[in-house]
Amino acid sequence: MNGFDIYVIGINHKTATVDQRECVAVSPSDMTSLLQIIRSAGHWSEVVGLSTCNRTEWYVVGPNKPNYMQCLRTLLNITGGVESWSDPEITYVKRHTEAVNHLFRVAAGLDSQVLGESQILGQVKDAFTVAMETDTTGPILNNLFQTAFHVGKRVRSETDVGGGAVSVSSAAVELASKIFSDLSRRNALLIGAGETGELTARHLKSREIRTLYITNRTFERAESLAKDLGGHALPYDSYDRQINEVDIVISATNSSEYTVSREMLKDVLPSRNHRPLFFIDIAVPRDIDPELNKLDNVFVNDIDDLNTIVNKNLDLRREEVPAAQQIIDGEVACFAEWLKTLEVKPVIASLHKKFEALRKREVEKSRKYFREEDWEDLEKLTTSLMNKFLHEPLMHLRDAAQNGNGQLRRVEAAYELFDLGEEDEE
Amino acid sequence: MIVFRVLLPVFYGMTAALYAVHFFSEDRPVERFLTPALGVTLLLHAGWLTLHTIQYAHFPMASPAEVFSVIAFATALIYLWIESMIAVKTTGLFILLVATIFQTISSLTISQIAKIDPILQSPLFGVHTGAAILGYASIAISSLYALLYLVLFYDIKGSRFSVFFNQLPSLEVLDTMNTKAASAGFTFLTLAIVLGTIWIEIAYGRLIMLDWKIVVAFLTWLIFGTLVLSKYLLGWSGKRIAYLSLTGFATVLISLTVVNYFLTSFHRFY
Repeated sequence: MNGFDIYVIGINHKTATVDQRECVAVSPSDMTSLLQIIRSAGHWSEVVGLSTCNRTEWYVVGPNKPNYMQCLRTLLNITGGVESWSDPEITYVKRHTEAVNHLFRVAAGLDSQVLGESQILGQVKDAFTVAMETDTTGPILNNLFQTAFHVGKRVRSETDVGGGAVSVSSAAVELASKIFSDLSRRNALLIGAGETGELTARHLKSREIRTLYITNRTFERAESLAKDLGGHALPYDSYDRQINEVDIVISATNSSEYTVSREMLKDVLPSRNHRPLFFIDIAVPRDIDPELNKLDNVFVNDIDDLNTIVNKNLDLRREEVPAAQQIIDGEVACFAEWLKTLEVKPVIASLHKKFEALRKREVEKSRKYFREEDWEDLEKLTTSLMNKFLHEPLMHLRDAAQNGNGQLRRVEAAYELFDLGEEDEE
Repeated sequence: MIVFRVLLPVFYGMTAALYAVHFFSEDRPVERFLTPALGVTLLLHAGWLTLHTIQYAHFPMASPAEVFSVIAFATALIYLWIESMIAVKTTGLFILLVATIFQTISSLTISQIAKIDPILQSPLFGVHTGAAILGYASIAISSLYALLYLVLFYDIKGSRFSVFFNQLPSLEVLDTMNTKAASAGFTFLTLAIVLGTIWIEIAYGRLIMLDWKIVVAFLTWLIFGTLVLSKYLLGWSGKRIAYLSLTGFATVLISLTVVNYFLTSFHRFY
């Protein structure tokens, strides 16, 4: 590119440890001022900052000279009070189509720690919104980020790179939804309100489970989580009476004995009238008697089953990466085409400006030789002549920009032939 | 007409192949072509049924081969209706495979019927046969959903999580589709038996119950009647209903395949 280029400088989960990422992370409250500082340094006409727990990246449009990136590194070190941005081991710099490809991969979730996760697209959107509101974006980053959002959506809708559950808690919900078609018509019981149990309960709640009962050895903990999730707390010594009412039981306790045994279900099953009962056992040692899986309409799946689902889904996502990258490659090529046309725009504008000034000067000089009623015709004639003279050179410039054939040579020739450099400086 | 005999199994096969690609590779671009492909195949089949009716002056239900073709058509048509209801296309492969098999057997064995027995041209016979075909098509679909139910059921129970786990809808959906199709099959079969009995009485002046295809049909009707009653009165669901449905379909298969190729006509009495 001639004059300017797109750059990204970043530190992410692949290059740096969480300690190193923490040092360069930018809080939402600091982002606005930092964007303004970078912009006011003068070298970068457009800036967007993306800071999540897995990455901090700066997308800038600046001079097409690599040494300017050194300035940016120094500036980021000073403002962040760190040396990390000068460390080539943990930072990466990409320019032009590599930077475009990088952002598209980030937006599509291909660069995420959990492949294909969808949260990142929202984070990229938030980052762009902050930059736009701070007025540090321009035509190039506006188009780049809008295209990135489109690419992110395309990859998710046209491939399965974001398909299937990839955490134990979401796998439990995926499994439940393979037994029951509509979780909003089902009730669930959570035995043990620990971290994993809570996560699974939250996933079930996000799928609008009808009623959620929570029981825990410490009743206050059950009450607190029930209040948070809009569920009902049950005393730990009487949850077995509730099993008849529920369709899904999640057990995640530290108990050394089964929380649900065959004996416990003896009276429950006949009154359930063949309704399926699904046990998700997330505990080690196991909470649910595995023998229950042999009963009709009773399903028992443990932590190993959930891990199997997670691993299979991750494999499926990995298989989708080439298809996702193909979409990204196409979009990068389109964006590169657009960038090329952007390069000749200043030349075309300069040519127009110069010829228009020349035309006006000559018309003014010659006006006295014409009657006043002919002045309008004179304007029309000279404008038409100017457009006709410019038509061929402009067409060749646009063509060179689109096809890349001798583009730089033609742009330079245009500058020299029409003395445009001088005009620009003026 | 020979062109249709070749084209129909090919079209059914190609549509089933598209559904297979979608099932195994989750290829999203292919998904868009599935319903249109099935639509084109059904239109072609409808065209053949119309032309056949015009050319031979009877609706193609006078021989086992003709009946097989109509069963293929009815199965695919009922599946199209189900697909629009559950908005899941991953079960289509299995149902269209059955339709392809029925149509292929029909195309290979169909022959021109020189003269149709006037008894078979009665409107009552037409409605009886139509109801029986819809009944058998519904039963075929019911049993396929029952089979898919059992595959997914044991996939989850055995913690295998195979391609069926990823691609099939929930057990509850499969159970519902099995029950709905079985209920429809039972209703059509009831209608077919009642109309058939009336038609025999009118056509032959006596009740013929010793025809063993009628006995098999009655057995099928009993099995599916048990299924419907168990579902709605005893609250049975899932595995038991699936096994009942498969037993019913096995009985139908005996009726439609084995018997048809041992006997020269559909029933013993004509």
